Amino acid sequence: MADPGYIVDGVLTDGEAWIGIATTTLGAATATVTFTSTDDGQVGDFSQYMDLVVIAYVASDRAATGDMVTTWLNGDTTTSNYSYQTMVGDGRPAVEATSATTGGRGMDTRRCAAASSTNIFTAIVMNFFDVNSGKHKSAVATMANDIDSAVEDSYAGMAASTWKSQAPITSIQFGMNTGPNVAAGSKFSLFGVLPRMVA
Amino acid sequence: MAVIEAIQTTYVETFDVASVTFSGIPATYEHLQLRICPRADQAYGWVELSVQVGVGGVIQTGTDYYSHWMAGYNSTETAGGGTARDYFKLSAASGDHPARAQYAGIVADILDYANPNKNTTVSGVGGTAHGTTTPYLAAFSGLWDGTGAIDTLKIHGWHLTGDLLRGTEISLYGLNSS
Repeated sequence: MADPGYIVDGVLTDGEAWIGIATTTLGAATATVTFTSTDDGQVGDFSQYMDLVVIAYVASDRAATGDMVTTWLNGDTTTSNYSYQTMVGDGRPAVEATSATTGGRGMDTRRCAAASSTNIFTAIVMNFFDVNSGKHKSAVATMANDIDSAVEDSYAGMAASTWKSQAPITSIQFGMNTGPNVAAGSKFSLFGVLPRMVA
Repeated sequence: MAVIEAIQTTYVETFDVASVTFSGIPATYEHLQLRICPRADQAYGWVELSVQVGVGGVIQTGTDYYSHWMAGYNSTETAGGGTARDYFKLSAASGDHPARAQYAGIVADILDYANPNKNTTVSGVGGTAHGTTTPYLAAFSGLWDGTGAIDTLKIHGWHLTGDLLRGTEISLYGLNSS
C-alpha cells in the first residue's frame, strides 16, 4: 500500500493536521450526499484520523421555510441507535433545549433552510471525535440558520449527538428530514484531523 | 508551514489519571486548539473538566481563573459562571454514570496564548448525549486573569480532583497564520 503524499519514506513531510478529504457541491438537487472511507491508506482513508470535521453549507428543496439535515453513520438509519442534546435560539427570545434518546435524524444539527427561502443556506460545522475508537461515537455541531423573512425558522444553535456503536466511522451520509432532496448549490466538505502521538 | 499543526495527542490507555499535561508548548503559534474526547470520574451523566495554565513550566494557581457558560440538558436551559477559582472549566466530559462506551466531545480555542501582555481567554463548545442519564451541551468561556506567555496546559477532571478515565483522548493543535 502506497503512503499518502504527505508521508515520504515513512516521514511526515507536511505537518498539516487538517487534511482535506473531499468536497461535494451539488449541481442539482440530490437525495443524499455520502462520504465513504477509501480504506486504502490514502488521504480518503478515515482510519488514519483522530477526528473528522464536516463543514456544510446546505439547504433543502422542501417547499417550505425550514427542514432538518439527516446524518447517518455507516449506513445505520436505526433511529434508536442515536441520541442527541440540542440548544437553539430563535429570537422569541427564550433559548430552547431538547434531547432524545432516539435520534430521528441521526447525528443532529437542528434546522436547515428550505426552498421558500431562496438562496439561503444554513452553515453547519460538525466535529466527530475519536472516530476509530471502540467508544460510542460523539459529535458536537454548531449551526447558523438565519432566514430573514421567516423568524420562526431562523435559529442559531448547537447539538451534541451520539451514535451508540463502537464501530469505526467508515461513511457519513447526509440527506433531508422532509426534503425530499438536498438542494442544488449545497456544499459539503470533509476534513480529517490527524493526531500526533509523542513517545 | 502547516496552518494547523498537531502538537501532541495523549490517550489515557491503561489506568485512569489525575491529569494530562502538555508542557514545553512552543510560542510560535498564533493560537492553540484543544480537541478532547473525554470521560471523567464523577457519578453523574456529565462533568466539567478543569484546566490550569503554566508559564515557564510553572502551573499558575491562586484565584485568577474565571469561567462562564450557557448550556442545555434535556429540556432545561441554563447559564452560569465561576469566578476567582484556581482553574477554568471546559464543558463537558461524560461522567461515570452512562454506558461505559460513552465519551463526550469538546473543542476549545485558546487565543494569543504566547502574548505575555494579555490575559488568556478560551472559548469552546462541548457536550455529551446518551440514552440513559442526563445529557449536556454547552458553549463556554474561560479566562486566566494573569499575564505571561503560556507554555503549559494541565487538564484535570472535575474540580481538580476527579480522574480522567481510561479512553480519554486529548489532542493539542497549534494554529499558524502563514
